[in-house]
Amino acid sequence: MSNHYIFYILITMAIITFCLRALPILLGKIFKDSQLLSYVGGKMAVGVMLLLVIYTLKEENYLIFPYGAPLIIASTCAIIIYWRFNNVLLSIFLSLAIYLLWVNAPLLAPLFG
Amino acid sequence: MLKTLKTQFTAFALHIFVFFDLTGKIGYQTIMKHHHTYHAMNISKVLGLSLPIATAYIPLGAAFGLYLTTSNIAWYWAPISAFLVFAGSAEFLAVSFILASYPIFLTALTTILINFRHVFYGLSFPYQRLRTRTQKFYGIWALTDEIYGITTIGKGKHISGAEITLLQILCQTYWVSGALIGALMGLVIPASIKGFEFALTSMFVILAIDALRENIKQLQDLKLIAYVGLAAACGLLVEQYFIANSFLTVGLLVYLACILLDYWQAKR
Repeated sequence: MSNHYIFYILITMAIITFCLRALPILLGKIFKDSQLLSYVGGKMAVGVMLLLVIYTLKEENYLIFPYGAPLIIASTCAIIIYWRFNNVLLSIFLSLAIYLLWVNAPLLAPLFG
Repeated sequence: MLKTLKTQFTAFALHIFVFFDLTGKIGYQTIMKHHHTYHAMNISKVLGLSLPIATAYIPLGAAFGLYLTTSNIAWYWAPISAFLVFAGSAEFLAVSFILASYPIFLTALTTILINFRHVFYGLSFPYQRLRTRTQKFYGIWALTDEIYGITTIGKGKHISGAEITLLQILCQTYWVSGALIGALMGLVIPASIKGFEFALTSMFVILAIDALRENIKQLQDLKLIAYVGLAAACGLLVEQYFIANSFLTVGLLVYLACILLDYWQAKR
């Protein structure tokens, strides 16, 4: 991981994000009139976010102990907390705490004898 | 005290301006309108608008910084990234791309697919209220989901150009300081503790719930979820048997194809 590589990745993302945000201002009319583009734009968000969730879940090995249980339970907690209380802070840190405590349990064992 | 002084001063300056408009060509109304469109500045109002964003950006930024540092990337990249990119989900992904040594080309393609929704923000963002070139450039640079929401449909629908810029600067400050706090927290946490990559999952879960709430309103919208299933299956297969690390790009392309087919079918 050279610093150059990290910088190239970040600058690529920065430039592309900027271009996407600037495009409709440069080509406003084409975008405004295009039904296709506004349809796609409206429906993309659900797909993008759900695929990102799956992307983070797919590296886990579900076939060996503990069968991905920490990941599944902690994600479910994140969903329930956010759905119920609408609170980003609570949802992220509580579910992260559950996950960390679970996967690091062997480290904590000496504390409890 | 300071605030009333400032308001009085602004009012005074405006009146002088109106006074010297001797021919009356510009007119009192026009001058006041110009002021409200471009220059008006109510700091406490902007702070109030930015607070709900702070409660999201600071924890998310901290989760991002924590994830980055505990992935063995130098801590200073967290604030640099928050400063340069300012697009939450893309930055989290940047970390996993860096860890997987993703090629630049795939990074570019995936960023386009993930941030494609931003293309539609520029259309209704009150860009014409931003006055100087720097303001306009920064206005586009820092046009996140939340700022778009507040300035076009939310409570900040009628704020002036100067207030929009202040709102954006405040929000990016929350994001950068969140990232910095998280990165520094990551430094003091011993390397033997594993599992911080879960911050990524919980952040996407939250964004997914927001997207679902907004888009799944009728029974037929549920087909979008079926498309996600299909896209994920294709992505997993291609990644397993053909191209390493291609899940996200392939999945997003398949999902896009499903939506396009849907659109053309409905049109016919």
